Amino acid sequence: MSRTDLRLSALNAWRWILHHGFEWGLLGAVYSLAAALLVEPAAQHLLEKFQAGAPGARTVGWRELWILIWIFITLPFFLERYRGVEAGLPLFRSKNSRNSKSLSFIRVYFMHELRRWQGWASALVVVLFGSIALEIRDLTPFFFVFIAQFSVQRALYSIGSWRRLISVAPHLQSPAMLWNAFLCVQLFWFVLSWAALGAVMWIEYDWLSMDFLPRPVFPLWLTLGVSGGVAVIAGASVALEGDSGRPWLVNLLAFTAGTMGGLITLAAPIWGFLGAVYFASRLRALSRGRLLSVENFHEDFVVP
Amino acid sequence: MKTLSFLDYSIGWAAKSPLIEIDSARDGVKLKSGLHLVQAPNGLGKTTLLQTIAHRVPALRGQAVLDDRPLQAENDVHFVSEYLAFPKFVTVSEWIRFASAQAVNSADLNSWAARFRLDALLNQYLGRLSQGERRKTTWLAAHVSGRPVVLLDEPLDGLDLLAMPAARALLSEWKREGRVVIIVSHHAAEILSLSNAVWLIRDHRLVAMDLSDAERANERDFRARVAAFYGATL
Repeated sequence: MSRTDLRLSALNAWRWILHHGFEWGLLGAVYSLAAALLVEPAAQHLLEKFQAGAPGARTVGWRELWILIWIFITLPFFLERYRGVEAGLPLFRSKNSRNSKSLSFIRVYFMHELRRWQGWASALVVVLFGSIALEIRDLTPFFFVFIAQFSVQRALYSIGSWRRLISVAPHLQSPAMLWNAFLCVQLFWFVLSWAALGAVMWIEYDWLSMDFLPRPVFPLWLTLGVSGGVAVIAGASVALEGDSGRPWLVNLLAFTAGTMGGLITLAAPIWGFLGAVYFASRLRALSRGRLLSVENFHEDFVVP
Repeated sequence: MKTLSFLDYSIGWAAKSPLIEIDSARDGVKLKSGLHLVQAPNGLGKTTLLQTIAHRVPALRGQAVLDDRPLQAENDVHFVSEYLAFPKFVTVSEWIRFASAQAVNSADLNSWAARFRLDALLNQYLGRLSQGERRKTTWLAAHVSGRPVVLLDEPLDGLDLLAMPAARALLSEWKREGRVVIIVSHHAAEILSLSNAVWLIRDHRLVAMDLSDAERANERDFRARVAAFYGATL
C-alpha cells in the first residue's frame, strides 16, 4: 500500500468517524442512559448480594453504569459498521469445488461470521477488557458481565440485514433458524474469548508468579464463564425483538436482558442459568412471525 | 405432468380488500407443467401472488393445491424474490448449496454455470459479484433445487445479453422436466415464445390470454394486446 493510499484510508476513516461519531455517539448515550436506569437498582441489589460478607464491599453508581453501557453499546457499532477494511478472511474455504452437500443456514451464517475480521476483533476486545477487569479484583465478575456481551452487541448491528435476507432467501426459512444461528455463533465467540481469558489468567496468576495454589483462579474463571455465558444467552435471545431489527432498540433490549441475566447468575448461579434457558426458549417460540413485515420485502441489499 | 390449482384462494394484505381471488373450479385457472407468464400493471398483486404461493405471506383464505394434495411450500416451491439478498462472505457454490437445499450434481451445475459464464466465479465471495452475476446465481440455485414449482419475480433484471440464451435454455429444460414455472417479468419479450400461458390480472381475477403464434412471435403485437386489455394504447 502506497503512502497516498494510507493517507486516503486515514482520511476516509476520519471522515467516517466525523460523520457517524456524533449521531451514533449521542444515540448511544441516550439508549445507554435508559439501560443504566433500568438496570441500576437491580445491579446494586445483586452486587451487594454477590459481595455478601466480603470486607469493604463496593457499589457502582448509575453514572458509572451509564458510561460502562455507553462504551459497550457504542464501540461495537463502530467495529461492526466500519467499512474501511472490506476484505474477507480466506477461512474455511472449501478447496474442493465439487463438494455437493447442501448447506444449512447455521453453517452459512457461521462461515460468514468467521470470515469477517469483526468477529475475531470483538473476541480480542473481550479478552483485552477481561484482562483489564482482572485488576479490579472483587468486581471482576461484575464487569465481565458487561464485557462478555460485546460480541452480541456488535452482531446486533447487522441482525436487521439477516432478518431481511432470511425473508427473501430462496427457500422457506423460519425465524427460529436465524435465532438458533445467532445464539450458537455468539456462544462460540464467547467460549473462544473465555478460553483465551483463562489462558491469560493462568499465565498472569500462576505461571509467572509461580503462585500455583493460593489464588482461586479456576473458581473465578468458572464464575466468569457461567455469568458471562448466561449474559450472552439472555442478550442474544432478544435478537429478533425490537423495531424490525433496526439497531439501538434491539441493542438496548439485549443489553438489559443480558446484564440482568448475568447479574442474577452471579447472585444465584443455578437460578440465573435456568431462568436464562427458560427466557431463551420462550423468545425462540415467540420469534415465529417476527419476519412478516412488509418492509422486509422491499429492499435490495447485501449483508455486510 | 404437474398441475397447480387453487381452492377459494384469496391473497392480499387485508381480508376486506383482497388483491386477487382465484378458484380453479369457478375460473378454470389451472397451471399445468410449463412456463406461465404473469403480466399486469404495477400494484395489482403479481409479487404478492408469488409470495403467497411460496407461503412468505399468509393467504387470506383458501389453499393452493399441487395435483391432488395441498401445496407444501417447504418442499414443493422454489421462490426467487425480485430483491436480491446475499451474505457478502459466502461463495457462489456455497450459496447455491444452501439456497437449493439439495445435494448438488456438480457436473450439471458446472455445465449450467459455464453457459451463464459463471463457472470461473463459483468459488468467489458473493460480495465481489455484480448484481447481474448474483442474479445468475439465483437461476442456478433454482435449477439445482429441483422443486416442482418455481416462482421467479423479475428474474431477468440485471442479466446481460449473453446470459439470455442460457436463461431461455434453462426455462426449456425446466419445461422438459415437467416443472410448473411462474414468472412475473416486465421483460416478457425475452421469454414470450417459450411461454405456455400468459395470465393477466383484472378485477382481482387471473385471466388467461389467448395468443396466436404470430402474437407470441411479435413483441409489439403482444404489448398492444396487453395494453388494449387494460384499455390503454401504446
